[in-house]
Formats: sequence, C-alpha cells, structure tokens
Amino acid sequence: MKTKKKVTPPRWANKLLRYFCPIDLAEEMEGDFYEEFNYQAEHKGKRFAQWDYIRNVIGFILRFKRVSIRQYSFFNIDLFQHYFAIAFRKLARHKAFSFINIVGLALGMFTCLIMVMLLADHMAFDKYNTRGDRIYRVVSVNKNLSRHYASSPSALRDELREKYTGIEKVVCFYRGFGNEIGNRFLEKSTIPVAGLYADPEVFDVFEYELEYGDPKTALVDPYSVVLTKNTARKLFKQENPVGETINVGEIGIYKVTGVLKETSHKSHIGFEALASSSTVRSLASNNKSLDPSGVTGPGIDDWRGVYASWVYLLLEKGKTTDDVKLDLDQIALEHYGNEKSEELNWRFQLQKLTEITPTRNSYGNEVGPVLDWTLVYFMIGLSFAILATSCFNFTNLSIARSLNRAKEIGVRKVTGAARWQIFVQFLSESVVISLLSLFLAVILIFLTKNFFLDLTLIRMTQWDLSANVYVFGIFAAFAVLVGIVAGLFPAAVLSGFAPVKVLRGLNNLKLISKTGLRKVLIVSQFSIALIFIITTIVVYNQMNLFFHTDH
Amino acid sequence: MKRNYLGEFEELVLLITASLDENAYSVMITHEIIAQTSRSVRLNQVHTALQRLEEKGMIRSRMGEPTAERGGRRKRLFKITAFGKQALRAAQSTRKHLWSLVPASVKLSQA
Repeated sequence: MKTKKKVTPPRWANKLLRYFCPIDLAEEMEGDFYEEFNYQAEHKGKRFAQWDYIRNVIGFILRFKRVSIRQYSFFNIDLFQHYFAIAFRKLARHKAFSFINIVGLALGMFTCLIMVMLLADHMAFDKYNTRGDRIYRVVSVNKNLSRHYASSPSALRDELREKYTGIEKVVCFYRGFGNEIGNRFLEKSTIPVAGLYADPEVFDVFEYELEYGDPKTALVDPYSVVLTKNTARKLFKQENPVGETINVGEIGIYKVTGVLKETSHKSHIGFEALASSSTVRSLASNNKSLDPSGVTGPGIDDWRGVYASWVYLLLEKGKTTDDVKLDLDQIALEHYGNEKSEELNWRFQLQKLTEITPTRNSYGNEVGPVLDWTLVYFMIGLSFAILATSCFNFTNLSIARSLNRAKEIGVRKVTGAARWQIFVQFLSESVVISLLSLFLAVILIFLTKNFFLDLTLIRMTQWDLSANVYVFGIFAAFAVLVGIVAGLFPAAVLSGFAPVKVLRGLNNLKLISKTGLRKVLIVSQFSIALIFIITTIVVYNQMNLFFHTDH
Repeated sequence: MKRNYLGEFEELVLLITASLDENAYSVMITHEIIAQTSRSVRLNQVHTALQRLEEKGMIRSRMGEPTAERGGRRKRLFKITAFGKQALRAAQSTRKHLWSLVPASVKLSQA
C-alpha cells in the first residue's frame, strides 16, 4: 500500500479553536471540523481543505462568541467593541476636551519618542561589525592623572605586531588629517575634508567596503586618500574620482585611491576621508611640525606620544583579553618602567568595541563624540519626566470630567456591570486616546525630522532618527503602556461610584472626596513644567553668552 | 427569547435529521443537505440551526462513540423528538392549507 503523506489542518487554527471553544463543546466541534477537513481534502484537495478549515474555525468563533466567551472567558470581544465605540462617541462629542487631552499627551509622547529614536540609533553604533566581539581598543591609563585616555602610542602597534602573538590584526589611526572631526560643522575652513590617517588593515578590521579602488593597496602609499561616498560626491563631479587629487592645505596634495561604499553602518569612528598612515612618517621626516603626533606629543615613534593615535586590536579566535592584558602589562613595564616622571607612567587596558559608545567610563581624547551611559540615563529620565507631566494632565482632565460620566456608570452598574468591567472600560478608553496621541506624535516626528537632523549637536554626534520595525514596535507597546498608566487612577475612581448615590441626584453630591492625589498631581505637574521652562531659559541665555561675548 | 415557529433553514435541518433517523450529526447533515438540495451550506450554519432546534426541544442529542475519521473524538448525535415531529407536521399542513388557497392560474404558471 502506498503511504500517503498525512494531511493535517493548520496548527494555529487548531490552537485558536482550543483557546476560544468552551470545554464542553470542544470535543464534538474539533471532531466535526476534523472530519469535514478530511472530507474536503479528499474531494477538493489539501489547499482548499485548509482554507475551509480556517473559515470554519473562525466562523465558529465569531458565531459562538456570545455563548462561549461570556460563559468561559474573562475576555469578551463584544464588550470591547462596545467600549471602543463609546470611547469614540465621547471623543467626538467633547471635541475641545478631546483635543486638549490628545494634543497634550501627543506632545509628551513626541519628546519621548524622539529620545527613543535617537537612542535606538545610537545603540546600533559599531554593532554592524561581525567580529565586534573580538575587536578591542587599547586605552591608556595613568594612576597619577585623573583622566584616562582613549588614545595610545602608535609605537604600540609595531611592538604588538612584531613581538607578540595572539592578535590577528592591529590598526592604528592618527588624528590630524584635515579638520577636526568633532568640529567639522562648527569651523569654517578652507580644508575640504575632516578625517584620520589609518593603516591599510582598517578595511579588514572595520569591514569598510570599497566601491572603487583596491583595499589591499589603497592605503599603502604615502599621500593616498580614501573618501566616503558622500565626500566623493561633494568634492568631485564624476562618479569615480579614483586617480584625482585633493589639496589638503599644509599637509600636502593627496591622490584619491578609493571610494567607500555608502552604508547605513554607524561607528564611533566618524570621518569623511581616510589617508594612509605612511603619510604621517613622511610628514614627520620632512617637517616635524606637520606630524600630527609631533604636534600633541614628542613624535611618531616615541612611547611618550600617547595623545595623537588610537590603536585597535582584532584578537585571534579563541584568545581572551586576559592573554593580551599580560602582554600589554609587559610592554608598559618595558617602556615606562624607567620613566622618572610619574606622569609618564602609563598602563594599557582594553575596551571592547561595542562598549565604546555608549560608554560606562568616560575617556579623554576620544576619536569622535561618544555618549556616556550617564547621559543616556539622564535623557531617558528627562523625557519620562516630560511624559509623566502629560500623563498627570490627562489624569486630572479625566477626573475633572468624571461627573459627566457618573450617570452612565450608575446605569451600567444597575444593569449588572461589575466594577472590574467599568475599570476595563475606562482603561480601554484611555488606551484609545493614547493610541490617537501616538498617531499624532508620529506625524509630528515626520514633520519635524529634518529640523532635528539639522541641529549642530545632532550632526556632530552623527545621530539619525532611525525608524525601523523594531522602533515602531516599541512605540505601540509604549502607547498602550502610557494609556494604562494615565488611565489607571481615573478608572479606579470612576469604577468606584455607588450607583444609588449617583442616580439619586448629582447636584449636592461630592463624588470625589479624596482630592489629595489630584492636588499632588497638579502641583508636581506644574513644578516639573516650571523647572523645564526655567532651565531652558537659563541654558539658552548661557549659550548666548558663550557664543556672543568677547573674552 | 424563544421562538416556537420553524425557520426555513431550521425546517430543512430538522427534516434531514428525521430522515437520517438515529445517525444524524452535523457533518453528515451538512453533506446531506448539499446532496439533496444542492444548496451551498456551511458547517457553522448547521451547528447554529441544531443548537436552536435543541433549545426549542425539537431534537434531542447524545454523544456517540469515538471514531477514527474524527481523530478519535466523539460526535454529537441528534434525534428528532415528538415535539419536533409535531412542528414538522404543523409546518407541512400550514403549507398545504396555504397552497390550497393559491388560485389555479398561479399554480399552472409555476409548473
């Protein structure tokens, strides 16, 4: 006998059926649908049978919801439909009130969401690198100085390469090619680019891909430069500028040997162009004052030159930081052990690539702007404070209007609504409002996006408002949460009304005797708002002073 | 609210239930209706009709034995009650009576 592959109904439809079907009906219903499925599978084929099964299950659930769900489940589709209908009717009837409520909440959400988006964007920094768990930066620590430095001497690179094992690749960056990266939007300069000098290994370690040019040779010769796609577009008319030259003022004329592919990858190492690190040596031998490590330190191969270069390591597979730490301690002892000055007694530590930004410890002399976790927490706190005020506002408005709803609640209770049902009704109402606010907030974000991206601070830290599915998922969950938090108190108060009192007459009735919480909410709302306004004014004036006063 | 008259579809289901004697159950009724009347009927409609008929006391149900084609689940078997038979007869006689009132010209043009 030929064994036929067994055809089964879709699993999820089965689960759905089990979930919604009352227990005493489950057996016969499952049996009926299963039999019908087999019949259809035989007569009209598997696909048809599966569709038919789904139709049957859904049809059953919709038809029998009155019977099954009310009796056996806490969750009632009908009632929720009713709550939402009532919510929309009330919103439509009290337009001014709804407007204030929704717009107020939307503005609070707006600030919060902008913050979420900026942070979500920042969290993605350096995460693109597939070997990120093996890449470390060497940072310089000196127990006699209060500050630690993200930079380390470039001589370390040669030492590690030549004398030590366990490290697959070492890459060194020097500062000083063109404008300062961090200041490139502030300074007006005739130099066309801001960038770094880098070793040829940079393509491999940081997974930069070239659109034009050869990664093996692009950064080998002195005075060669690799541009980002954006910069290439800015500087040259032609699509492929390889072979052209750019004049970078005092530090010479550079030949373009490559153009990087445009990517959405973000890194704490921001640049418009990378020049070959062999240039640095050539500059140093010609004119010491042009050597970037000579400007901030004693020179290119000198171990005391801690400030002009950054060293990144790619560990070999299976090696841990402990292995390398011993080597680094050894190196530090060899080169700084005999130093007389305490201030030159450097030690080296490793910092994981993915922990550079946002960072737990702040280091001086960073490659580019990085974000501190403290700042991250501070900003989260700030935006939540703003959101809290709009939640308070929402809560107060709802309670203030509760007298309008008192009669409705009375009637509901008399006709048999339980307290928790009224509670759920008001909660779902506030969730509806917060979802509408979210909608408004998202529109606001799209309208003001360009304005935000234009801010110097945002451009300097190369932030972007990244909007992916993940972020929108957070948004939706966030709106529901806000709705629940903001609606909790009104729902608790309103669902507590005694029907007899409410229906007997509203005139000389004090429904909310406990005004304590309301007062607390109003006072805290106003104080937070005042603090924000005052801080903003003070900071603004201070900034004006900084920028416009002659020193 | 209890309705004591028979709906058109309910009558159909009740008749089929009666004709299948003791073996009537939802899937079989559905297929029988399709076979006999060539109407397109869904299982869910039959479920609803059976439930209403049972509420009205026109049919009675019991659980049958588990069978393999149902994945080892039991089925609910339906049987017409005396009240159900009475309702069917009443419906039929009402029809007959009304039919007799129709003038001959209309009857002919129908045929």
